[in-house]
Amino acid sequence: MSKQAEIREFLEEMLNKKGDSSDFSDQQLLVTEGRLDSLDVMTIVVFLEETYGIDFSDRPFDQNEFDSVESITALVDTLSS
Amino acid sequence: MSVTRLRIIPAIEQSPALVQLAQQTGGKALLLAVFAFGLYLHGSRWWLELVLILAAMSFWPQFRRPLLTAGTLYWLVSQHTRLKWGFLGHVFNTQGLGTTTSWYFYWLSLVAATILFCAMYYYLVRKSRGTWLYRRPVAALLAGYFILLTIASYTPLSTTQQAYLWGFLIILGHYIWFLAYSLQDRNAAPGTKFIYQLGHYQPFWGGSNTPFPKGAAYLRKIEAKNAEELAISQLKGIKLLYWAFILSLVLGIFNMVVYGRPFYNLELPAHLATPSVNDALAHTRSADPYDWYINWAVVLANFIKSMLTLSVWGHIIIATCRMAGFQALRNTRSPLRSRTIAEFWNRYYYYFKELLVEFFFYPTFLRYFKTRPRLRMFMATMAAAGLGNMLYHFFRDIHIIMDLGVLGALKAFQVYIFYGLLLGTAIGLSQLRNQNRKQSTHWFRTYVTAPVIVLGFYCISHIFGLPYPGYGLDVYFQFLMNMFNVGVV
Repeated sequence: MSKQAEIREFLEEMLNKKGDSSDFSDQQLLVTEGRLDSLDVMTIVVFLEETYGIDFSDRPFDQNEFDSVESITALVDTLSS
Repeated sequence: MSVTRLRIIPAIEQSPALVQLAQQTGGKALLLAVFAFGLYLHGSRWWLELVLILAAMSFWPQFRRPLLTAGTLYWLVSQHTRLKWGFLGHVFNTQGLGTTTSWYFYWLSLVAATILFCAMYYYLVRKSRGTWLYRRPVAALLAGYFILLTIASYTPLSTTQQAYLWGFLIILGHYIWFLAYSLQDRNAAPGTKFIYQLGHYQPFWGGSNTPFPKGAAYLRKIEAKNAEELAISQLKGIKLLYWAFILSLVLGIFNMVVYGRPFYNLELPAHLATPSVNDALAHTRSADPYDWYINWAVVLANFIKSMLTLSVWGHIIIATCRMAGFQALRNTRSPLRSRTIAEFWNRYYYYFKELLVEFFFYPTFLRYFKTRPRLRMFMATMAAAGLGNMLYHFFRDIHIIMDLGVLGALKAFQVYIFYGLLLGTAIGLSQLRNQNRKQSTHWFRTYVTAPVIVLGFYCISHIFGLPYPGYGLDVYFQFLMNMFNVGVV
């Protein structure tokens, strides 16, 4: 499974847990639209730390980088390279 | 079980005909007129000035950012003559500057110094890559502010020096969280020029020391990119403004029935005459407490009033922001639908919660207790809802620091410190409890038990978070015991 697909699956599962089963595109801004909140972003952080071994502690943190499947994938690509 | 939502105000932004109309010159003028009427209904004294700024932003959206900065600058100047920034005017008078200095010189020099400080600090941080300052600019800013408060409290300065130092701290305190958001945007590409960031430092659409709606990065995301998005944003703004008006009618009727306050010159011949929280606390303090059921009524009425007041206030601000072309989320979003303590915190005062999350929760979560997930979540929540919440209010209530000094103010803040700890613990536990837990599908639990527990918690704990009346924690606990008919003196 590609990184993008893995991230998408994780977000789908998270939204489902919140009772939100509406479809979304890879570009859709889930935090900006209010479907995910800032605490959900932390759940995504934990997922990325555990799955890809990324350490966010040493760089400025920007919640906007966690807004869509596409932006999260881009962030993972940047930080794992 | 699905519940069909009843719409009191139709979803006008979903009508293609209206969206089309709102993109034409006549349609824009109509929307502005409807919005102006809504502001007038709300009793806004500045409805005309607001609508003129919004008109400029509607007809020349390509100049939205410069217009936002100009509108906010105009607001700064016009609010200054009307409100004199409250406490700043008090400092000017009590320090006896009126005889030697003009108010305008005092005010302008302080505003200029604050803007200059913000700009210099922002650029200093940007130029300091690789240093501690670059990695922790907000922590350094808050620590520096605290040090200056201590210096102002305890250093023997002349009255003029005192007036200028306190004046600077008062104005910087108004802007400190706005600057914090700018600092967070320091490495964004493409970013927003600092001069345009100043446009949403205490913007013309209103707010408090909490930035509505957050900072430059968020505004870039929610800004209408074309005529259709602007039309939808404005239609949503109008909808929210009129929803706020309906809520304000409910609030007015509530105040009339519960507190006996006149509403549109109408007074009821009989009302519940519910005392205020401050009145009930004063009675408790003087060993003459109200009956337990009256104390319950006091707490419940105060909580309902606070929710309605915050909703109306926040909706008007966000409605105006949407009219300006920024599709911001609501500040208060159906708090009564909350099923958990953490969810209520998210729904009640969204932008304050976001501030605490951005500047306290994230830094703690990302750096500490990484090997212990549950402790990590709890401590990060405590840092936000507890420490951050206390610090925000401590800095906000600068008049108490000025009166009592830093240490005296910390002591006077004991009730809020307790409130912060209580809130942080409750939200932290709520977060832990809800991790990896599916939403309950049981009707009774979803629609009765959970909301009653959540609202009950906030209803009672809310009294500890009210503006400082000068009582010690013992008075609050005595009041609580009176509510349960225990320990009545």
